[in-house]
Amino acid sequence: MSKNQKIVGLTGQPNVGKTTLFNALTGMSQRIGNWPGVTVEKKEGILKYKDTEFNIVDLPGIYSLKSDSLDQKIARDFIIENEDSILVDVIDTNNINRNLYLTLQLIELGRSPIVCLNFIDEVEKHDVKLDEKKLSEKLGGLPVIKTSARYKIGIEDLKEAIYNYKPISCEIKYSELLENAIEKIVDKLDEYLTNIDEKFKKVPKRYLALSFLEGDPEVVELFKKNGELLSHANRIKEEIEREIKHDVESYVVEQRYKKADEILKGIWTESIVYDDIDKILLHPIYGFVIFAFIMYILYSFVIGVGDIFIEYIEMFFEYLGGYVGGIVPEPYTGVVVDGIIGGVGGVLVFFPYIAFMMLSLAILEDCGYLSRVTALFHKMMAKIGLSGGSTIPIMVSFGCAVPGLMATRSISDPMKRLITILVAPLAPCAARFVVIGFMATAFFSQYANLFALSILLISLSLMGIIAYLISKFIVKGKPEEPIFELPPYRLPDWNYILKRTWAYSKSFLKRAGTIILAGSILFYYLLNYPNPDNSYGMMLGKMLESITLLMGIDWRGALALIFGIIAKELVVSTLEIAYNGNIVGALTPLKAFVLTLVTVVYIPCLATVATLHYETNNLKWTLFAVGYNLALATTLGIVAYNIGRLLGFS
Amino acid sequence: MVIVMADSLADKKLGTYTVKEIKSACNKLYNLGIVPGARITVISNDRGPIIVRVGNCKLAMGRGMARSIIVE
Ligand SMILES: Nc1nc2c(ncn2[C@@H]2O[C@H](COP(=O)(O)OP(=O)(O)OP(=O)(O)O)[C@@H](O)[C@H]2O)c(=O)[nH]1
Ligand SMILES: [Mg+2]
Repeated sequence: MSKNQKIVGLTGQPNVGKTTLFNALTGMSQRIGNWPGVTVEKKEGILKYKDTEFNIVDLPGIYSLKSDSLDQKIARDFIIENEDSILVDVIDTNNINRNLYLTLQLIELGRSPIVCLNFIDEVEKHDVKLDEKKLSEKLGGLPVIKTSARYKIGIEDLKEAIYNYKPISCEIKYSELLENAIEKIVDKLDEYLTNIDEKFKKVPKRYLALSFLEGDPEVVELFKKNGELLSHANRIKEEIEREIKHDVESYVVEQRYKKADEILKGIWTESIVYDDIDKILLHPIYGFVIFAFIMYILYSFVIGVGDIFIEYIEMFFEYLGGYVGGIVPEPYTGVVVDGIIGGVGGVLVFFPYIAFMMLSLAILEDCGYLSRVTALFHKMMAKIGLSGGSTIPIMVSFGCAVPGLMATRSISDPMKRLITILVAPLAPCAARFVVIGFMATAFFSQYANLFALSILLISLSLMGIIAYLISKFIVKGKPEEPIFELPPYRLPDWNYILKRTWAYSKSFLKRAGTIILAGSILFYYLLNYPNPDNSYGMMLGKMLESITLLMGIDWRGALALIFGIIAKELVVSTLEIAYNGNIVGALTPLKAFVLTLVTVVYIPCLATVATLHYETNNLKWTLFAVGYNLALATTLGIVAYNIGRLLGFS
Repeated sequence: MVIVMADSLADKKLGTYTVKEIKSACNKLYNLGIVPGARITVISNDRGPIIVRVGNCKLAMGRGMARSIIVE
């Protein structure tokens, strides 16, 4: 980053379109979705405008700057530390009164943000007028820009405003009572405040006084380090509480909302758009029926459309194998045809399923239905020790556990979050669907759907049981009182959805071209050196065989499972190679079923384990997760195999 | 002593109310604009969570939470 590159921070409440705006400004395509808490980590990108380069930073959504939750603390620290940055305060104009709360706090912090009235397309559709000049006046001259990030309205105006930005000083006053109290604290601040963190030297004194009254944990901590200041400030706090007859914390909150209403008076009228559909979608019976129906449609779509493409891909690889086998020099035909084409092709065949699944998940995320699912499932989730907030991370984990685990950050209760992190990887992700799909087509042609469904149901029930057990015996938490935002339904942003699906698909293809390719080649050599009848791979597999044989899996399967830890698709590639493409002759349906089940449940892939460690920041829990998965998979495999045998399968 | 007609949100039928008091101070409620003086509309109070509207924002909450919000 060059020295004179200016930082532009996009802040705002959750789900106001910050990331959509970020994508519009930088041309990137970061993840968006119609539910609060999509962005959990700050992302940076470059905007070149005229002769200047700006470093745009997309921040996680926050309701306020109070440091009582981790994400709000992080956002506030960013704002304090980058005091020379340009702030763009993104506002969902439909909810402007609530959003101005944060704007007021930014002003308290001594900043003069560019106010960006987003969602202007929706607002104008409802024939609501908003006078931005008057709003700017009332906000002490802050630049106010109307935009629609999705429909790219006003983006140029916003760039121009960023380009021309000059900080101004503006101050907004609250009630006399509050202002007096602030003044009295500020008066003594210079004298009494001797022990101050570097960070707080940069913020206005008025902000420190107000934050103390509001009970901001970090600022209260600061006051505690300066005894005289604390007792002085506490005296003032008691004085004001005697006057208003309730706590001053909520008084400060009320004052800000009042101010926001006052600012909006005469320049904005609220229009209420009514829809009643949520009554049914959240109904404890109809809601679940509709959910099941939607899932069914989704599944049929993915499988139905996917199948059309898969046939052609299979034909292509068969043809390719035959053709390449004819032209590659003799010593290499094995590794190329059986290793590379067999291994990578076996995975690539499932590309259409993966692409359509990602497409469906992105549509669900962007239309707003997922927030309803959260509320609908809360009661059920609470019974097994999770919360409604666990629903989205689990749904996302069906695509990939890595973003799924990251999505748990929006769960406020740390215990519930931990349990969700521990069980979410049990959701069969796209890579595991490759294994399920492979086994389904190879062994259960007629009953493929039934097979896939039973694997799915088993893994979901396991998730429920494990969550329940963990919450009962290991991580105990108290039930939490839920409140969920239900953002309006929106038509998906097709442009974004296609981009996003393409990005996912690309990464799937990239995996096939890198990890899967390398894994396949390595596996081929492991199996054929020093010679096919006594290879290194065989030795490695034999070490595990004593356990896996209990579930009917021989050393080849054991070896495939070892490779599956790197990436689960590799189970398919390696089996293709180990059995020379003739897996049907080598395994029985029962063994295939057990192997699939074990693959779905045992150690999640390396990337997931790394994320698990990152998100829990705790080695013990990471090892616990890996350990219980392994133990569970082993037990499950043995039990399933033996039950199957008792039932007369072989 | 004058008895004011105030109940918790959990016992209210459909309609619009004004928040009087919040019993268990909860930042989550403050964040969503539920503070004394705010207008709150009950959209559904039947089976399942209570659905309300505050400003232009729809919320679903459990009964326990609704009981701590006193409205009139
Ligand atoms: N109609 C309309 N929809 C928009 C606009 N801007 C964003 N959206 C949609 O609003 C939803 C939320 O957008 P995001 O960009 O994910 O919001 P965010 O502020 O980054 O949200 P968090 O990361 O959760 O804080 C998405 O479904 C967008 O497609 C807009 O100007 N008009
Ligand atoms: Mg975002």
